[in-house]
Amino acid sequence: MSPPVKLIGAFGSPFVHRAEAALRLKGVPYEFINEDLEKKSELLLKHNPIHKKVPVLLHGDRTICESLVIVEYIDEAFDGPALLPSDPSDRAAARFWAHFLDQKCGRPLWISLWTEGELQKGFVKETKENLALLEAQLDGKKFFGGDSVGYLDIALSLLAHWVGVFEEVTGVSLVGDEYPALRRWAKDYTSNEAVKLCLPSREHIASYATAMKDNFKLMAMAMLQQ
Amino acid sequence: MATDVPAVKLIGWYGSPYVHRAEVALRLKGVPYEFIRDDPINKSELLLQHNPIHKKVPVLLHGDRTICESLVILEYVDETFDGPPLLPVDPYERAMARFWAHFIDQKFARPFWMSFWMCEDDEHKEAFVKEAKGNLAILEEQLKGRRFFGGDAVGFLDVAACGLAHWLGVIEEVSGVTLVNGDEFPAFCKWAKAYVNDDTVKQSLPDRDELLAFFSGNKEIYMALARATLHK
Repeated sequence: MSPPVKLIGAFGSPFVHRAEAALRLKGVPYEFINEDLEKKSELLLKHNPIHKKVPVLLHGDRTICESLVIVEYIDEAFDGPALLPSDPSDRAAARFWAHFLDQKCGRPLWISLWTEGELQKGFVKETKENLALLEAQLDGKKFFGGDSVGYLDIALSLLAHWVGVFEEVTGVSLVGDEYPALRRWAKDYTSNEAVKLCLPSREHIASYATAMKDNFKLMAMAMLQQ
Repeated sequence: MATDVPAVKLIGWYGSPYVHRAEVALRLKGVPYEFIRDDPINKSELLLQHNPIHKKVPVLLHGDRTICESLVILEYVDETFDGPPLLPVDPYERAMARFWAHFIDQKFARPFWMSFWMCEDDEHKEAFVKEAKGNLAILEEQLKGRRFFGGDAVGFLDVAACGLAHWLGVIEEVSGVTLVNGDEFPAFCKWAKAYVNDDTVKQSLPDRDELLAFFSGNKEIYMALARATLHK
């Protein structure tokens, strides 16, 4: 009998979604422990003392932190459909593009959404170039993983669901008609049976983003200084 | 006689710890490769063609495949070629190795850089030194009395941490700032020695004197950069 699986997360977080999507796609039952990020619990601070962030996966007496590390762990520790491709070169590509999103896309994307004026234009251009690269990676496939949802689809899920809502809230258009493959992929990803079960509703994300608008703008301004 | 084994080439800059990561992985697996030495000041068409996104080394060319990013290359080499495994076999141990490798890449650069190159009398320097030493203490604990992070032999995390084993000491010498000492970090010091003296690792470590000369030559630039980035 496999030890129990618990996931410390915060409802609405795209990084937590990565872990949940992986668990659901593998068919692994788990208990979701919702965390108040304004008032972090002893449990979270004990299990992720270094980063103090969610998601955190607890599997028996094992603790795994960092969303992409968690996704790979879930892929390797549990039976079920493989999340990463089997070919080493395809695996390397999946890891490369997942890191690309986290390291290269995050900042210009956020600044594009939450700032305006001359400075914003440069970041919108950069974001659109990044999106074009990802569009090219789909290369006629239904999912980045091929015929079914895989590691890279999960890693890029922010683009499938959250970005669309942020675009509505801010009025900034990023994933436009010039990205037909990405737009179709976003629909396919968010309607996947397993994924649907752990996606926060658009209404929830929209009301959260609206409430946090000023904070998000401050964060974007701070990023500009980096 | 023609061979159907695709040739392995590695594009790199001499002296880069990230390039060393890729080289040592290939050597640990016993994979013959051709090193294509690139120039960071004058990047070649070959590099720009194969890594248009980041324009950085290392870049692994394996037949018609291109792999970029040192940690991605490490995993690719581990999965593609026979030889002793670089990552542990157990999924949890693998997750830990990946976690700590990312920790090193994300959390070490800034406090270490600022500790080395900020002015002695800058009030912020102490905070960076404290943070850098805190990170070292965390790694010290991870060694848990083992010879290498990987256990008895050099593995993924040892290779990922190579900058701390070889380059760190050089920068300490050039900057005059010592962070690592045997009293506070005995396991770490033993590990660093064991790593740089490993027979396979040694073959792809840049010469210490050459590194010293390189960093010494750029000292003023690093100090100016540290002053500039502090106020961002």
